[in-house]
Amino acid sequence: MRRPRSAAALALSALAAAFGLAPGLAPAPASAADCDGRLVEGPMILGGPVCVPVDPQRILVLDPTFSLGMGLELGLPLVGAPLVGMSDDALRARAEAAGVESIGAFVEPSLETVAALQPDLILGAGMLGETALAMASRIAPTVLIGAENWKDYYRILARATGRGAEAEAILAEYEARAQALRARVSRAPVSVLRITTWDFQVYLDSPRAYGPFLVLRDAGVVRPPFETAQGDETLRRPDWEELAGLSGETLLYIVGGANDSDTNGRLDEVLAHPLWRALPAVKAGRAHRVDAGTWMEFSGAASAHRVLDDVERYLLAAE
Amino acid sequence: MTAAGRASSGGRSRAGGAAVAAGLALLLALAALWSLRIGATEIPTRTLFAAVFSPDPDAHAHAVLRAVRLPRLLTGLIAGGALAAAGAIMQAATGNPLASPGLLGINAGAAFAVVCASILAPGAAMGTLVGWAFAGAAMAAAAVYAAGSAGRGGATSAKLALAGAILSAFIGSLTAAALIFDTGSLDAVRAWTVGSVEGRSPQAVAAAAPWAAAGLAAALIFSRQVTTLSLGAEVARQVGQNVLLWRALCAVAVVMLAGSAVALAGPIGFVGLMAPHAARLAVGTDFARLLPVAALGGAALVVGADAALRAGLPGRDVPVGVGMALLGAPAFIWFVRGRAGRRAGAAA
Repeated sequence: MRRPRSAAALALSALAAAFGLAPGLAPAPASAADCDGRLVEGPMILGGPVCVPVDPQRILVLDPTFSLGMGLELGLPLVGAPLVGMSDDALRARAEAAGVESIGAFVEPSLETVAALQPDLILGAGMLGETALAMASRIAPTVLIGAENWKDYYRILARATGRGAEAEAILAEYEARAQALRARVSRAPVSVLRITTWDFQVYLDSPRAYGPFLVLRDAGVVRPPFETAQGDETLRRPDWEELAGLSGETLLYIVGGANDSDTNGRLDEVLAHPLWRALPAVKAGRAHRVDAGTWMEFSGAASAHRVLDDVERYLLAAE
Repeated sequence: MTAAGRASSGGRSRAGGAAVAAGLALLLALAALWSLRIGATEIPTRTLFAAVFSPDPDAHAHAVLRAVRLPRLLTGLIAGGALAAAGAIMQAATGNPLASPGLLGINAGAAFAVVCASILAPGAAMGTLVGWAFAGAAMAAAAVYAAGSAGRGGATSAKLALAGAILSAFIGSLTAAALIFDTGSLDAVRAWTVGSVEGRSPQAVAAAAPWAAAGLAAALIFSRQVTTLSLGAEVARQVGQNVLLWRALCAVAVVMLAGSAVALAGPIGFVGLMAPHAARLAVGTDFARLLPVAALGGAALVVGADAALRAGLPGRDVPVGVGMALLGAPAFIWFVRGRAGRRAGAAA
């Protein structure tokens, strides 16, 4: 026999559920039989197949990088994204110009704003996890994409929103440019370093590399052995002594962005350090600062083209 | 422990104290050598001396030693020695065996000053932050001392401890409030909350060293007065000491020592409490012997712990403030138990 519940209690629990306050399980995976929209499935879809509208009109994205950038490039009707605290100002400007409302910061989105925007589809990165999936699924069908490789992510996002052909055209244009550059890029090794307030980071050359570094691979840029992955690792944090491993003839360095290393004195300290000045690229005057938004908040084909711009600017063979 | 008991345990021979100090100096030299040898670049001992005495600006090993390893070693030496000496003075002057430099609000003041600096003057390099931290430590100590010495009887141990705890909490919440409004300075203040000897510039070391040296020298010169003070205010007054004056001078020495150490390396815990304890167990309460032993022991502890952490966990820079208590606490318990066991054996 069912326990009688007052209307108020029912409304409260529905409200709590809508805002993810009640502990809930991820929704049961959809199946083709009872989906009257598009069934999004595949190994990279967190939590199994999701049934989404065929022609979504109000799409909300939960990450300000891959999902936001690619969504804008594909011309999706985006209504909301976490625009607070993102360091790619150009992308934020494009999002605001396209009428995208901010739902707060990536790590702390306002679920109330998400619900108020009444999305009919929510997209995000798989790293958000099962909890976010369960919460967001109570508001609208939610597709969290677990692909690491930015091109895989692009294709899955495009298929989930019926923009597969557009995505292929955008990616083909990128591939053509990268292939053309391959012939002109210098074969001398290139070092890339991120300087944060508290450490140094080297994104390693590997098939699993983060977006900009996959673009470097596509363009045929060679990295020194120290910056090449030996196993599963994708990131190395050298100390001052290990910095000598950055033996590239050219050095691209990234400062600022999500941290204040460009304004808090850290950059000046690094640039004045004897071990920085001892790096071969620095000695040769071939150390170039590159944009943190492009290199650390990679968000699709536009970012990839900006990386290729840097390749053209700094890494071509002498003719 | 009564004053008489303390005096008797302090009645150890001068030669014994010298032997302990010489042993610790040797230990410190070995720890320093070890510290200079550890790192990603293999550097033979021969090159160490060449890098110091005949540096070659183009040799990578020399640059590593002069720009990375020597500043790190010196930071550890200064911070360890100064914090231990400051702790020894605090414990003697207040008669409180649990006193440590943090009691005067020095850690809280330094952290608050660094946060203020990064808000008021963003872009300040680590080298200039040392000055801010020192000023903050000195002001906090002055405030604690003023609050603790108000009323009858001047700065008694209990009043100082209370004032220190209250003002540390007050300044700590100011720091937390400032950090809420300016998240960017969180990174800057991190170095002043855990205590680390990594990445200090030679300029920062040079800025802090004179203060620590002056504080140590002053404490050595006044060691007879500090010993008298450590017998308790009543005894000190009976032998004609101006207790208020000497307590204030002790506080100044503590600010110079702990202030410079905290400004340079952050509040490395444990060493300021434990090194003077161990020194007292080893050589007794005569401050002229206790102070050098505590300072040498503190320096050896920090330098050795930092070297051990780097050797044991290569590639992961664990702040020495985090690792030292982990390594030091068991060693200290073993040491105290050993002494207590022997003393019990001797009494039986």
